[in-house]
Amino acid sequence: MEMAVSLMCQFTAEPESIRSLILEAKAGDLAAFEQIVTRYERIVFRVARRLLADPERARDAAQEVFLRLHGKLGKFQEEKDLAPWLYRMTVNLCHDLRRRSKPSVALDLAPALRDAVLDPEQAMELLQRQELIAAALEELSPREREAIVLRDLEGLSTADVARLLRPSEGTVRSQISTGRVKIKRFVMARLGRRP
Amino acid sequence: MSAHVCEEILALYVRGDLPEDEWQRVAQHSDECQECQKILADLSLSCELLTNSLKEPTLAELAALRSAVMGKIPVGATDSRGWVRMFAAAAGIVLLCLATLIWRGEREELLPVARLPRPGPPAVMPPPEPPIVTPRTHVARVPRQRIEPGMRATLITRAGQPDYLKMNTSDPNVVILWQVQENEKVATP
Repeated sequence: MEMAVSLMCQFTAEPESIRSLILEAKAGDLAAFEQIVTRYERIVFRVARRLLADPERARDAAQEVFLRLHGKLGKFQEEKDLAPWLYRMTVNLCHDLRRRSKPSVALDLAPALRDAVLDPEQAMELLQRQELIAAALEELSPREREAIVLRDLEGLSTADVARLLRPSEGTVRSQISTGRVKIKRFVMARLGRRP
Repeated sequence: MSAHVCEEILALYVRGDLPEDEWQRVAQHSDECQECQKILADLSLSCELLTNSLKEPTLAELAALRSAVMGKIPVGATDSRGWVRMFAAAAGIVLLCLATLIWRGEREELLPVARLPRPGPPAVMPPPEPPIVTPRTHVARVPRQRIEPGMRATLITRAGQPDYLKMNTSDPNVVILWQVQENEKVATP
């Protein structure tokens, strides 16, 4: 939950340092642009991976987001917040990528196997949980998935999600509600409980 | 609230996405309703799994992403304001040229004789004669005289010359000379 709170703060208030970095990057400073990438790469890559469920395609999408940011730096107004722009660009790009190709289910599981800290039992449990949730996310419609990823995984508020995805707040609330119920039913069915 | 709360409302309640008054009503009901408590427990479990199961990207993955991004930025496009600077430079050159042209034009207007060759006289044609200026003399206006009716005619004959009939009018300034043709001569008595 702490992560969610920090993300919300990041979303609503961009620090002055980021604005000066944007100004320097607009003037052609590549080092400043690399600092911007460093600052936001985790958010962009994580959202892309959760929306696409495929690390390879997620990396491509995240890369494309930053390249588009660089291409549009000249038009970008530094007084505007960068995080919402990046979130929106990531969601839109992933939406297009998913529409163009078949979704790959539960491919984002390799990091659990590479995690040397976990013992085999823990790794297997984590792997099963990740597989379960990745498969549950695939049950959602694209818009429900985007709303759930931004609200429940990124910790944005419903109002912020509505601003990013551009439907009304009521529509976003409905997507979130339907998505949570679908995930609950999927998880309970896999766990052998009555949905 | 006696009726069960629908699952979709509970799905919003479980993470505090309901308005305050609705949240209070659901809280009151779920405190007393075991069925709703069961649904809420399942929703909480699935939300917990959703939040905590997916891994964060590793540092190595992020470094690879950053390296790929920076490697794909074209060198010529590093300065996103480059085209602005080029445009400003071109505009400056054009303005300088315009200012030079305007300045030179003004100089030509100030020194037209010095720059234009003086046209010499044509080599073949004689120089034009100065125009004859007739001195304007004062002409006294003659008062108009009244012409009296009546004429006086005199035949002037000279040897070897044609005959003339001189007719004096009432106006002393008007004398009519009529040359008499041969066929007009009449025998004088």
